[in-house]
This record gives sequence, structure tokens and C-alpha cells, in this order.
Amino acid sequence: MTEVIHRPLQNRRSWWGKMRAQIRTKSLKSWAVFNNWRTYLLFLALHSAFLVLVVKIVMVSGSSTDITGVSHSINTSTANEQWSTRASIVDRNGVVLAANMASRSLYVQPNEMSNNASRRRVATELATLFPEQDADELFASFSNGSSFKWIKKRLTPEQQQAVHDVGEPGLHLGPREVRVYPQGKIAAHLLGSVSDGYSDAQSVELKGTAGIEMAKDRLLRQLGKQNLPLALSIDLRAQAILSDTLTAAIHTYKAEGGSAVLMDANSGEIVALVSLPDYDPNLWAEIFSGSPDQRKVLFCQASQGLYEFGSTFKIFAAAQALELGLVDIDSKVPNQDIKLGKYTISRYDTDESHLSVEDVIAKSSNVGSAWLALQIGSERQRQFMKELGLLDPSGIETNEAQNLFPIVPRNWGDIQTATISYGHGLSVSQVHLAAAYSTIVNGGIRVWPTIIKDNQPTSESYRVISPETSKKVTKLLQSVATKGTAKTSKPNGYSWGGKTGTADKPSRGGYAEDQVLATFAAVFPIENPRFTLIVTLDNADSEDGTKWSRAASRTAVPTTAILISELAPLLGIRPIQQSPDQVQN
Amino acid sequence: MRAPPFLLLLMPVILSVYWAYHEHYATKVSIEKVNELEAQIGHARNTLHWLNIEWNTLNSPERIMDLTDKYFDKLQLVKVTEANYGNVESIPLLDNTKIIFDVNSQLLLATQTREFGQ
Repeated sequence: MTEVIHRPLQNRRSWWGKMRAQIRTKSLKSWAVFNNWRTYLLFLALHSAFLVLVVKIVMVSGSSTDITGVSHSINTSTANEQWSTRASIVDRNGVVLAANMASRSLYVQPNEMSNNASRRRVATELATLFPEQDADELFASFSNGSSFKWIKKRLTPEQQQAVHDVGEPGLHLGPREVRVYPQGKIAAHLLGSVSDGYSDAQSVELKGTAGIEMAKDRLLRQLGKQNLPLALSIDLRAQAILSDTLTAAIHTYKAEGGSAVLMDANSGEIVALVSLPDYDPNLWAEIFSGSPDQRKVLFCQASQGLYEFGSTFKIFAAAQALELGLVDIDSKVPNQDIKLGKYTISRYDTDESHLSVEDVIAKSSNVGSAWLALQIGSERQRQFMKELGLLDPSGIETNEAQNLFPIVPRNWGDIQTATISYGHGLSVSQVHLAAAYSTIVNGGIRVWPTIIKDNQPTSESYRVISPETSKKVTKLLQSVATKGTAKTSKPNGYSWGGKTGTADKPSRGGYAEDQVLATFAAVFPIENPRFTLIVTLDNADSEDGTKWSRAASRTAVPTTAILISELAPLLGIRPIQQSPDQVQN
Repeated sequence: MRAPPFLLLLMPVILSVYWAYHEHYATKVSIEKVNELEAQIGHARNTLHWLNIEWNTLNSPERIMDLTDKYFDKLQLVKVTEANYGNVESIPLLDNTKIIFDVNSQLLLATQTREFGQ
């Protein structure tokens, strides 16, 4: 081989020949290094390391693991939705009750405008667009050397277009989120409102200021969860019916207001809650900054209002007496005046010397329930009220109601025991009353009111009364509807039970003579109670303003009957089976 | 004699370098594509969100009730009542169908004992 290198004619060879010769020479020389086995081993080691890297790359490129920082799944939340900084609120069927919407704000940077003439023109045009602005004031603020001026925090799409049409460089449309309540007045008291927190030209912080918007503010704003709507237990259709029919009842009975709570008796979920008069949550800020009279509508009578609900409480005394085994449904109770110190509880003017427990409830006897309560005793009564949840905040998730304690007598003696048995001396909210009724009719399991769907922890539930007592209580409530104070009305196609209560409204130093709160606490369907509906009318009058015409049996009961015949079909309850003859008629 | 194994080892190296180079640019292109698609999806979602709010505004019970009142003479829509629930007895059934009720006369099961045509 070495003789090739020393060929004398190499200068005469072509360039390719030279190249070949060189390659052969050099490669042969470099090949020589592999004569050393250590070098060869090193080469093999490096090569296999390289192959390992190649295999790794192939594996990575073949897998779906995200190594680039780009999400490959369209279902994960990504940067594209980050403009929404607050979760929506929906009803139990997913209908939107509150949502964030991208809008535009308008601000001006006057130093970007070339001269005073254009500043003057912008001021004039903006003043015509937004009548609340004054052209001269705007021009003055543009010319005083400031570099930033807010014009309007929220523009409609038409206004945005109009601003574009002005076409001046100093005008800027900044992104801005707004909270909208597409359903208007419905469920306003539960939803509450938000207001602007920290804000600048590019963003705004929306903070809850009332209702569930405030009570669940942190949850709604939780990073990464803003795309998950918060589902309430409210059914918007039931809510609408409740609101519509109650409005009609208030009109018919010339009432000052009214409120109603519809609760799932087994879970404590509030399906509908209405307080009238109501308001549009989109206008919350305007109403809140208005006069005290205007602000009244923000008050929720159903969850915030603490009232003495009168005779509706009698069922609790009866339920406890039945549970303790003191009496049975047909036991006789003396129908006599009860004297307690300087107070006397007078009997109604029936001649009977004794009433059965059923009659005490059906005919709503004060002395009867007071007698039962005195048999029970104040300590046990207090304990029972505590177990029904009537001495603690109802716990529904609105800012106004979640920490609201009922008004409990400081001194719980015999007199208080007697008066509380017929609903005076202990002020609770309608939600409390609904929960207590649900507890005694659903088989005796305590329920905790909630307005959030599927929030009810079943493990926490405990028994207050036995299922047998609960059955008897249901029977008592049914007798009110069949032969008692509620026999005048009846829902079409559905069975019901309940207890009336006509409570004199407290006024300075006592009770008002002609001001009553008429309540009907209804349970339906009565054979197997699924829902509790509490309807209260404030100062309703069915005819002529007499005590009789103001009674709950003349106002709240007919209203509730209509409500149940409208609500029950929607809630999926089958009407009572009619015989085929009735169907044909 | 050692040249052929050296070349054999070198070939996959060259091929894999070519492949990796190619893959690198293909990845860059697809990242760009994904970003573009994500922007489109985001835009579509925002539109959907807007339309959803608008739909809910248009379908708010208050508005629907006002409309049913306004067009009552033409549409005559009324609320759902108990009369909208039918009776199982009123459904014409084949003779060989069994109906089972529970204690509350709620329909539990309607089964056919035989198939049609038998």
C-alpha cells in the first residue's frame, strides 16, 4: 500500500484521482486509531449513548405528553378564557342566573390629541353621545394637562361603534368585565350583587357585595375554577310561578308585601324563594345608593325577616308531646283558660270542656297548645326548638342570612313556653320555619336549609322525631286541610296538609290591633310529603278589614292552594288518580 | 476491515439527525397551528358565552310570561296543570300487557308478556 503514496506520476493525475488518493491515505491513517481497542470501546460507548438519546426523542415525539407548554386538549381551561374572572351562577337546571360579560370602557388620553380644536370636537361629540357629560367641562379637563380621564365604565355595543365613528386617536376603549343578571328580578334577593373593586384602564376586580355573590365570593373568584358555574338549588320555573302568583295575591288582598319559600322536605334544598316587592339585581348599586324607602326592596322578607309566625308553631308542641308519649292524636286536652302569674290565656268560645289533640291543631286552639307545652316543660321545649334549628342561623348561603340568629327570649319561663307554643315570643325567618316543617314531616330527619345544589351532607343528618311520630304529625296537618282552618280551599288534583297562622304584628310596646301577618305552612303531597311551602302575606285583607277577613284561612290558604296546583305538576308530582268517569268529565 | 462497521454505525446517526431536524420544524409549525386554533376556540367560546347570556335574557320567565299575555288571543297558552297528566288506563294497550302499580298508584312497570305478532 505504501508504494501507492510514492507513485512518481501523481502530479499528472486528475483532481478526482488526487482526491481519492488523499481520502484513501487519510482514512487509512484515521482507521489506524481503531487498532487501539480502548479507542474502539470509547467510540462504541459514545455511539450507544447517542442512540439512547435518539430513542428517547422518538419516544417523546410519539407520546401525547405536553412538553411544549401548549395544551392539546380543547376541554382543559386555557389562556383563551382568562377574561372571565368570576364564575357564573346557574339554577338547578343550568339556566344562567348571573354571568360575566366582556364589555368596553371608554377613557381619554388628551395628550394624544394634536390640538385644542380636536379636543373641543371630541368634547362636543362625547357630550352628545353621553347626555350626562357636559361639553365645556370635558374640554376643560382635556386641556388642563392631565394624561388620563375616565368617560364611562361600561359601553353598549352601539355606543362602542359611535365612539369608533368619532375617530380621534386619544379615545381608548379598554376591556372591562361586567356582571349581568339575564333573568332580571327573579331570584334577586338570593343572588345579591357585585361592585367594582380595584380597577384600571385594562381590568376591573368584581367583588360580591350582597347575597350569595358575597357569601361565596372566594369560591366564585377561585383561580382556575372560574369556568365552573356555581349551581343553585333554585328551579327558575318554580321561582317564576311563585313570584307571579304571589304578586297576584298581594294585589288581590291589598297586602303590603309577601314572601314564600318552597323547600325540598327531604334534603333541605330551597327550590324557590321569593320576597315581594323585589328589584332588578342589574340596578343594585343605584337602589343601594337611593333613599331608605327605595332601599327597602333589598330586604329579603323570607330569609332576613324575623317574625313571630303565630299558630304555625302549634304543630311543634303537638309533635313533641306525641314524640314524648305524653298524648296521642285522640287524647283529650282541657279547653280551659290558663292562668300564668298575671297573664291569662283565654280559650275560644266553644262550649266543649275538652278538645282532642287533633282538634287543637285543626281548630288552632291556643289553650290546647299551651297546655301541651306546659306538660312538656320549658327545658325540653327549648331543646326541641334547638334540634329543629329554630334557635340558630338558618345557614342559607346569602351574606344577609348566613349569620342571622333568631330572636330568642332571654328568660325562657312558663309564660314563654306557653306563648312560644302558639308562635309568639320566638322570632324566626321563613326559611327556619320551612326547615322545621320539613324535619317533622319527612320522617323526622333534621334538614339544613341550603340554596346550593347537592350540597346536603347526608352523613350529618340526625333524627329529631321517630318515623311513627312523623306520620302522626302529617295526619294532624292533613286534618287542618280536611276539617280545620284550611278546609275552605284545596289545590286542584293534589293532596295537602298544613297549618295556618295569623299573627298580630308587633308594634311599640305590644301588638298592633289591625296589623297581621298571615302565614300558611303547607306540606304536599300529604301521603308522602316531598315539599314544604311557606306562604306569608303581610297585612292581607280578603274583604272588609275585620279580624275574620284578615285571617290566614281567608288569604294565605287560598294563595297556597293556587300555588300548589301550579307548582306540583312542574315539580314532577303526579296528581291524585282520578276515576275514569272524572277524566271524561 | 474495520471500515464497514464504522459506516454502518454512522448511517443511523446521520439518519436520526436528519429526522430530528425535520421533526423540530414540524413541531414548530404545529405549535403555531395549535395556538391559532386555540385562539379560534377561545373566540368561539366567548361568542357562545355571549349568545348563552342573550338566550337566557330572551327566555327569562318574566319576558315569556309577558309575551304569552300579549299574544294570548293568538296562542292561548296556559300554565301546566294537573290535567296535563294522563292516566295509564287511558292508553290503549295490547291485551297481553301487564301494568304494575306501587302503593301510591305510581306506575312502576309496564311489560309485555309476549312479542308483537305472536
